[in-house]
Amino acid sequence: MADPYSQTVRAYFVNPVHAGSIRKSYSRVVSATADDRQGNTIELTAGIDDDTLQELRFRAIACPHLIAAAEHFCERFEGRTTASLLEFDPWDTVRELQVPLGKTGRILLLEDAIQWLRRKSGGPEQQRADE
Amino acid sequence: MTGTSPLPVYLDHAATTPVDAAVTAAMVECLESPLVFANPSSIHVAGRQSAAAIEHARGQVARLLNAEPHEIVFTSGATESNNLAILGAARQRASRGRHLVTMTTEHKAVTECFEALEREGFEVTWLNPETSGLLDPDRLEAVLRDDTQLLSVMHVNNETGIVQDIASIGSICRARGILYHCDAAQSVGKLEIDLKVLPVDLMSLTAHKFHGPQGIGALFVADRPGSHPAPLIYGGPQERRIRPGTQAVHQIIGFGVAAELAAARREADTEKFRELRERLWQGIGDLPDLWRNGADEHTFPGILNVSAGGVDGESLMLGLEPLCVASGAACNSQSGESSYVLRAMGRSDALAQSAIRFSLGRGTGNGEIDQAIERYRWAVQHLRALAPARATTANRA
Repeated sequence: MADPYSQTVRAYFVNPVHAGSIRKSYSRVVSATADDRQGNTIELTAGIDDDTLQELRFRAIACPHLIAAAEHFCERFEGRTTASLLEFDPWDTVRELQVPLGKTGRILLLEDAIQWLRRKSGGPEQQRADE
Repeated sequence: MTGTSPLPVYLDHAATTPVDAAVTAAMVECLESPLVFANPSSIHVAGRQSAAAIEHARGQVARLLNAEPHEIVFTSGATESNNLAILGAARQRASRGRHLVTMTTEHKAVTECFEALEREGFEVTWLNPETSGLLDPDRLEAVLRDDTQLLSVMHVNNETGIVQDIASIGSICRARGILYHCDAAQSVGKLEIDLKVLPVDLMSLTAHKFHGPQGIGALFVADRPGSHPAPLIYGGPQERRIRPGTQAVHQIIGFGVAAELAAARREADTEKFRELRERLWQGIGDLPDLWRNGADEHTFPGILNVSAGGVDGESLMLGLEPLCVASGAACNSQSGESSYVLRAMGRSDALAQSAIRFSLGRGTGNGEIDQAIERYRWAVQHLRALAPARATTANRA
């Protein structure tokens, strides 16, 4: 049986530097959670100043691919604007982490959490637009 | 991942065991022998040599069980033995009745036979265990009927190590004239089994669970009226026509040697397993929200099954590398579900998902156990550090 975990997944899994809680103070801190019936839970938290995702953190009870995907997301989007969250494409993550076909559904769970985070972090105008 | 040796630490002996060097030597000697290569059904001198070697091995296996040699039918392993026993016995006795009984916590090699029989029109009563994993004899008696023909309850559970009271279960069956089949793949060679005393009619066993080769097993068929199953395949007189086909001489010889070794080492092995399992449990048992699946006094000492709240099973398996252990996680099952055995014992899906089975073997020592303790502690603590603060066993149940 082939190893289901790429070297990138293994590295993120062992050392997820963005796991945990927001460490500094920001004008806004927002959190979003998504979970599924299999018991996977992913919680994203953003520390925001001036519409910029100054700090991104995650917590998860999840399979290695979802933990790695969350770490990968935080690494890529930290320092970018809240509007950039629209650019998240789960299939980029699937390709870059070499997620097996049967596990792609787990990455969609991360996408759900990111969508919630975007709605909550986009300020009143964004939230009204989403409603 | 924390600087420990990347060499595998094998603690999955309930799945299979390494072949003992003495077994390998006997098999190689057979394969290279100019005398013991012949078809044991042939009546010439070479065939008779092979047949004699098979009968010698049959005696070794029979002695391990305190059975008669003619009560041992060689098969390809426990899965085939279970199929032969259950399908064969149910069909053989179908004219007397079509009610069968088994447990939800049996191995798939048993449960899928009963599911097949349900499709053939048999009625099956599926018994759940108590939360201890044990079968309540009163509940068993309550479901038995006049038309019940067969009960199948395993000896040692392959996931939890829970040991059923097969003497009591067999007695209930014998008093009612019901055939009792026992899947003993996990207990033969490890626990004392005396089939002159135990009221068991059919017992499945396999060599590779006690340091014999894969691909060879046996079905014990008690020398009692009505205990013979109908064959599943046809084509010759071998193995009392219950399991025809040319016997695999070298594998049977290996099986025999493994049986003899197991009989000689069983008590010492069991005592060692008890000490090592205690060392393992002492090393991890203080972690919070840890659940031991199977009470100490009712489990085979070579198996420790533990669930951890707030931890994903697949991630736990990756975190445990290079330990070779078994998981109750869905990713480990072809059905995509967490351990049905643990759920039948009342564990939540989340706890069943996080279950890890450590199973010890003859080659396991303190060094392997200490590495297991280190890896398990690291993995559980690492994953809990990632978990949302609100995640507890209770709210994930």
